[in-house]
Amino acid sequence: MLKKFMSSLLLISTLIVAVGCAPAALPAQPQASSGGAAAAPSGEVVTLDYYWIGNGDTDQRPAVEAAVNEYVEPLIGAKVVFHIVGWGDWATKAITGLQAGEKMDIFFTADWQNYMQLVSQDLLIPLNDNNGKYGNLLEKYGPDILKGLNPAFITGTQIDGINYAVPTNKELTVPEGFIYNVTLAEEIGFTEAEAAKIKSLRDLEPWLEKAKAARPDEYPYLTDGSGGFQPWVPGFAAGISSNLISMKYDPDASGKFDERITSIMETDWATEHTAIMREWYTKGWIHPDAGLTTFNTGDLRNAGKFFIESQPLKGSNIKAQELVNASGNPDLVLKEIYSQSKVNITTHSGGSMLAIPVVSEHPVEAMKFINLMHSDSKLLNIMLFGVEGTHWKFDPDGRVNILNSAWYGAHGGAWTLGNTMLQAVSNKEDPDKNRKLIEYSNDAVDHPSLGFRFRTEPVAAELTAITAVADGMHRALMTGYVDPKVELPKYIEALKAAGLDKIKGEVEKQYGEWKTKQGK
Amino acid sequence: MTDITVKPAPRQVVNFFSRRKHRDVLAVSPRTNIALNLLLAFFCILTLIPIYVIFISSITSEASLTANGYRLWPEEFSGLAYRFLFSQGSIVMTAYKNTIISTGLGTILSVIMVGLYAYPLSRDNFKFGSFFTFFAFFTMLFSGGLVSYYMVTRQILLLQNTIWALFLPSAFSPFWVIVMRTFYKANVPNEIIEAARMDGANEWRTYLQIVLPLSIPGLATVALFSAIGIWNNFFNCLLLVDDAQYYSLQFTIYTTLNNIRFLLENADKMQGLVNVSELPSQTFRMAMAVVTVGPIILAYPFFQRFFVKGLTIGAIKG
Repeated sequence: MLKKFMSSLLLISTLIVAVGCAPAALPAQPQASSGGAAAAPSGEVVTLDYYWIGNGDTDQRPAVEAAVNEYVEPLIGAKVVFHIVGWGDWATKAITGLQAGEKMDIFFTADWQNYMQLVSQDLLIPLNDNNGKYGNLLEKYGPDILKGLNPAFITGTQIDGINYAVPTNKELTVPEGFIYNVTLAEEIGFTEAEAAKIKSLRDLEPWLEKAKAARPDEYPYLTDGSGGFQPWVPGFAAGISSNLISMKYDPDASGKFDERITSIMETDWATEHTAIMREWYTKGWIHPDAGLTTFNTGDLRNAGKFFIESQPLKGSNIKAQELVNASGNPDLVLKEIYSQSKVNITTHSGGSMLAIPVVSEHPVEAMKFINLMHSDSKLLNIMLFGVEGTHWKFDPDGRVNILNSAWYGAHGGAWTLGNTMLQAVSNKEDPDKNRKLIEYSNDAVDHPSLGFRFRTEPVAAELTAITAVADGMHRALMTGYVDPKVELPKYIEALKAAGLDKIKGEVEKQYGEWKTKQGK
Repeated sequence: MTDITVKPAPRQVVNFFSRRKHRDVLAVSPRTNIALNLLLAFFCILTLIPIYVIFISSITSEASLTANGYRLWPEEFSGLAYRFLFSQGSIVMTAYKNTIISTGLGTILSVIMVGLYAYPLSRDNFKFGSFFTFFAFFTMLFSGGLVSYYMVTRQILLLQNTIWALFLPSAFSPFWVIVMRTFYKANVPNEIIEAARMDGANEWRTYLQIVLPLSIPGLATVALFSAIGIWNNFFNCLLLVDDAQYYSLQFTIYTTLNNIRFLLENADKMQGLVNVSELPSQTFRMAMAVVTVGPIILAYPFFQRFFVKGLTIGAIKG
């Protein structure tokens, strides 16, 4: 009797486990059945798995997918499933998935998200390799992509002459500059004419002094140690947490570039810059916590408790307006000052790209979809804002009134999506914003290093060591948190001990090889 | 803390001069007692202050938090963060539901699996005991790494995007198997199992009616730790779930904080592509932290009674 009871208990527990597996098996089925339905009369309808960076998934996704699919299925015979992965989880989740051979068809990538590493691990399909497995996908199925893009985007994202990802058509040139707090500027008489006279850090000093006098309990120069008249190409040798090895960003008066590879902290510029920062710090112009990694300039900027801050800019006061919109502070007014010329560099060209992983079974459909993202406004607006009528509606002036921001806030944003020129803008933005952004780069010049990407493998150990040194000291020095007279020589010494010279040698070597290959 | 204070001596019958003599020999002097209590109370407060600050910050208005920083008593209160947290379209409610379900199911499953795996290992007459012990123990020392874990759970077990993904991969723990094995050995004497057998009980009956009641404290420990483990686990969700419908609570907070960390650290590399000031506000993050503490804080007092019981009741009498 009891035996029977026990065996039935065992049966039940087996059943529980079995039931547990049943729903688990479900997600695999749609793929299988769509493959089965593929053989149906109208030709194959494939499902594309689209990996997209952003804040995270939302429950609105199925509705948006339905709207996208209803629209694109007749056009390219494919449906799409979005996988939105958080900014910080991208490396753990999306890249691990890619390495594990997860089914993926469209994959977001960028220079700040391991583009170079994925290419050297052969995880992405070469898109315009005539001898490749799939031939020249870009030319065959992506004609609209090449039409819309600034050529600097294509050359800037090439590795040895091959594109492994399609760049998004967005702002290309992002020179450094400043934004300033207009409310405070009016109090101290800092006009636009005065702003135009700012050409160096020293030019700022009288105004910082006045700003400090006007608001003694605030710290007028808002900084986290980056930017602020740093005349170096940012992200030149990627792989080091801070910009330590680079070349001059601006051309000289005759338009020529200085192509010498420089160890930045050893230059006179670094000595002077850190000394000025220290001086400002001791005068109370820089926040006492600025040297700490937990210090976030955003909070003070949103509150309008600063005078001036260095920012990467994109022309036409657009950055300032974006920051005002993001702050949620109705009293905040910001304006921009430019401190660099318009130069196209590698990290800017590769800021946002879409790749097709080698595991993809439908690279042709994937390329057709990316091509649509470069040619079809309707698709872009659904992907960006969600379902028309539910998530947003058009205002009479053609801008978008966002009714439900759940979808808009979940994904990476307009700059991750195909061609920004074809997207609508929200009613908080300049109606001409996207056109202005693209046109701003039209008269920019290419930096000679455009397209150069540093391969980190040969000096991986040194890079780890040097990153550890830089993480400890760089920001403290660049915000005046420590005395550069004492600490800068120590810092340089520590960097050298960690292998700075070896890395510099490797960068020089690779740059030379790259130059020869370019035939320049 | 109250355990170390001793019942006060019957003062009324003691006269002033003989007070010292009547005190319990083991008792600490009243002055030391007060000092010790104060010291321990001080440490208690030290551990509570951070939790208090998190809570108070979560109900501070964003403006006064930015203006004044963290304070013990804010200038202006606001419930906005909580309203936003539980508003329509927020995934926090779904995540809460998922976490509670998976903690409940996962704890039960974990206790069943660990309890049943460890029991035979504790019996001397189980032939393959040492093999199965090693089989479990080996996984504590060596693992296949992230990519293979990912492939097994997603591509073979098909666990992606289900609620099972939140607790099934961590339901079985070799560490607790070893602990439970030792517990069975120490607390369930062979004699009592032999006695049950003599009385005609089969293995199941022996386990359920004799061994199980004696092992409650051990299993309660397993239950407590696996409940906390599953409640706090965000990694399975990070790896296996990309559908918001199955997000767990800890993952939601983890991913929010991790996104902020990433965007702040990489701001210079990303050249202002994302405006960091758009990120969730301080009060919102604090409110999330408060919410995640949630019901799991009640797990400790709930399980505590089993521990006390376990220490007092023996198995064999006479």
